[in-house]
Amino acid sequence: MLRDNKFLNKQNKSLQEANQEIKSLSKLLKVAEIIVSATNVQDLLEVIMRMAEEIMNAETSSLTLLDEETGDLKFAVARGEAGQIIKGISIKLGQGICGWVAKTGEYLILNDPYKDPRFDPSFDKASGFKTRSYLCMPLKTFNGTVIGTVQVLNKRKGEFTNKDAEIFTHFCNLSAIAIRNQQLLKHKDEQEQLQADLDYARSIQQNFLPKVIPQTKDYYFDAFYLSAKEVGGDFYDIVPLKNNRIAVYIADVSGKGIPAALFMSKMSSDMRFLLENEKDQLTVIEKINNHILERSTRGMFITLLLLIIELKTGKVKVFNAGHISPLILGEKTANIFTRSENPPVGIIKGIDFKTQEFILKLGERVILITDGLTDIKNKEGILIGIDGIKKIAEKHSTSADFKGDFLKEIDSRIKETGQPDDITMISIFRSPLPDYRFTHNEILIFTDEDNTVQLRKIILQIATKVGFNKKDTNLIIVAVLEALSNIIKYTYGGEIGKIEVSVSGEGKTLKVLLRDYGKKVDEEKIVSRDLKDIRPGGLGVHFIKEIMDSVEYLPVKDGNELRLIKKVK
Amino acid sequence: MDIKTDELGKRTTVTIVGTITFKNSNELRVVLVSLSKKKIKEIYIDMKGVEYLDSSAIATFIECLKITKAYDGALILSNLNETCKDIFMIARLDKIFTFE
Repeated sequence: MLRDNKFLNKQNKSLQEANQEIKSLSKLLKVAEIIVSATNVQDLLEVIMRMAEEIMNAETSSLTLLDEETGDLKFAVARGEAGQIIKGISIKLGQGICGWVAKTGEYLILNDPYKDPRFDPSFDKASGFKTRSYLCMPLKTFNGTVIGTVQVLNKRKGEFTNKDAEIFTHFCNLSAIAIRNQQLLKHKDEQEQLQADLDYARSIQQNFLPKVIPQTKDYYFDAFYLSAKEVGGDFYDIVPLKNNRIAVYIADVSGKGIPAALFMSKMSSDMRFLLENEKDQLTVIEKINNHILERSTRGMFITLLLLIIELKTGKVKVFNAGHISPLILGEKTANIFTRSENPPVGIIKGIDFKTQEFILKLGERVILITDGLTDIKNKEGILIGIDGIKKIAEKHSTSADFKGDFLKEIDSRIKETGQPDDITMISIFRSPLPDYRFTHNEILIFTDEDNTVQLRKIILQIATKVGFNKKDTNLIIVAVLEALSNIIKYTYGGEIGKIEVSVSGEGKTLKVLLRDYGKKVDEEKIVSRDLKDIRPGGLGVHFIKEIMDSVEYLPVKDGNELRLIKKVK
Repeated sequence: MDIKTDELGKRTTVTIVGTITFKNSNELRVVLVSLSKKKIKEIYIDMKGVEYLDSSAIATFIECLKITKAYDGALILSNLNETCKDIFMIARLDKIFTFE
C-alpha cells in the first residue's frame, strides 16, 4: 500500500510539474508575441517585467541595462513600491548580484540571500522591502553579449529552482533580443534626428541669404553660394542704403555646425538693421564687434568684408575685418586690393577699425570671396590661394556671363579635388557705358499654365534694345520656347513644376537663364538627332543650338540651370 | 490658335491663325491626321496668319507629310513669313516640303 502511494505521489508530482511547464511555455509564447509588437523601449521593458513576475510567480522584479558609455549597470525598470528608490541607481560590473551575473554571464539563485556575501542589503534597507528569494538572470543576445540583467524577487510559493531558471532563460533570451533591437532602432532614429537638425539649421542659414539681388542702373550685382557638406558659416548680403549708396558684405564665421549657422543667422539680421539705421558704417562695425563679443561662445569670431559703394561716383569704402582682400578685375588683369590689418570681429573689445578706399572705374569688376575658394586644391594637392583665384578671374574677364563661367570652372575643379568649405563669391560690375545694361527680368512660369505671351514680350523688348533685328529676335523667341518645352516635357515629365526664366541684355549680348527644380538633366543624353533622318521629334535641341551662340548648363545644387547666350554680330 | 478647314473638290484648305507651339500643336495634329486619313488629294495649308511655330509644329507637319506621301497625296505649305521659313531652314526641311 505504501509503495503504491509513493508511486502515485511521484506520478502526481511529475504531472504537476509537467502542467506547470506547459503553462509557463504557453505564457512564454504570449510574451514573444507581445515583445515583438512593442514599439518603444520603455513600454517593452514594462511588459517584460510584468510577464517575468507572472511566469516566475514572483512578488516583484527589476531590470538593469548596461550603459554603453560608463560600462555600469543601470536600473531601467524597478517595479513595486520600492521601484522609485531603486530606479536610476548604477551598479558597477562585478559588484553585487547583478554585477556578478552581468560579468560572468551565469544566472544566480539565492534562496537565502542574506547569507551570500555578494548580496547587498542596502537596497532592502532603503526601500523597506525584505528579499527572501532572488533569481538573477543575464540578458544575453544571440552571440552571448550581456546587455543587462533581469531579477525576480520573492517567489510566492516556495523557492526558485533550476527548472525556474531554465524557463526563465528562454524568457530572458527573447527579451534581450527585443531590447537590443529597440536600442539599435533608437540609435538610428537619433542619427536621423541629428541629420534632420542639421538640415533644418542649414535651411535657416540659407533663408537668410538674399533671394533677390537688387540691381541698379549702371551696376550689376551677381553672387553664388555653394554650401559644403556640413552646415557652414559663410554669409553675404546686399543692402541698398540712403543717398544712392549700396552696402555689400561677405562674412565667414569660425567653426561649423549648428551653433555657427545660428550665430551667423543672428549676426546677419543685426547687420542689416545696423546698416539701414546707422549713419556711419564705422559705428556699424564697432557695434557688430561688440555684439559678437557679447554673444559668442567658445571663441567664435567672424571675418567680415564690407563695401559701401557710392553709385554715382564709384567711390568704394572698404571695411575689412580679417577677411580675404577683394579682387579688382579690369579688362585683362586683376589686382588684389591692399591687405587690411584689422582683426576679425568678435575677438577684441573696442577695437579701432581702419578703413580703406578705392574707386571702381567704368567697366571694372570687384570680386569678394571666402576661403572656400582659396582653399581649393590643384591636382598636385596644393591650395590655389588668392593668386589661383586671380588667374581664374582674369581668364573670364571678358565673358558675357562672368559669374556663370567662373562658377562652371570652380565646379569642375571641386569635382576633381573636392570642396573644402562653403564657397561664396560676389561680383559687382560697373557698366563701361551709360545704358549698357538693360532690365534684368525674372519671369515665373508654371507648367500647367500658358504664360509664354509675357515671356515673348520681354524677349522682344530686350532683344530690340540690345540691337537684334526682327528676324533674329523671332528666332531667339523660338529657341527659348523650345528650351521651355523641353523642360516641361522631359524634366518635369507632365508634373506641375516651376520654371524661372530671366532675360537680360548687356552691351551686345542677350542672355537667357532657365532654372527648373526637376530631375537633373544628363548632358550626355541630350543629343540633337541626325537631320537626315526625317521624322517628328528631337528637333528642339537642334533649334536651340543653331540659333543661340552658346547653350550651357550651369552647376546648381538641385534641378537645372540652362544658359543661352546670343551676341549681335 | 484658330484652325479653319474648307473642303473644295480635291483640295482642302486649312487656314491657321496664331502661333503653333507645344501647347496647342496637338489640336493641329488632330485636324491634319483626320484629313490625311480621308486621303484628301491636296492638303493646302495657309500660314499667312502664323507668327511663328516651334519644333512640335514641325513634327506635326512631318507626320502629315508622311501619311500623304503614302497615298500619293500632296501637302502644300503656303504664305509662310520670314521667321517660319527660317525655322524650316534650320530644321533642314526647306527642301523637303512644298512651299508656295
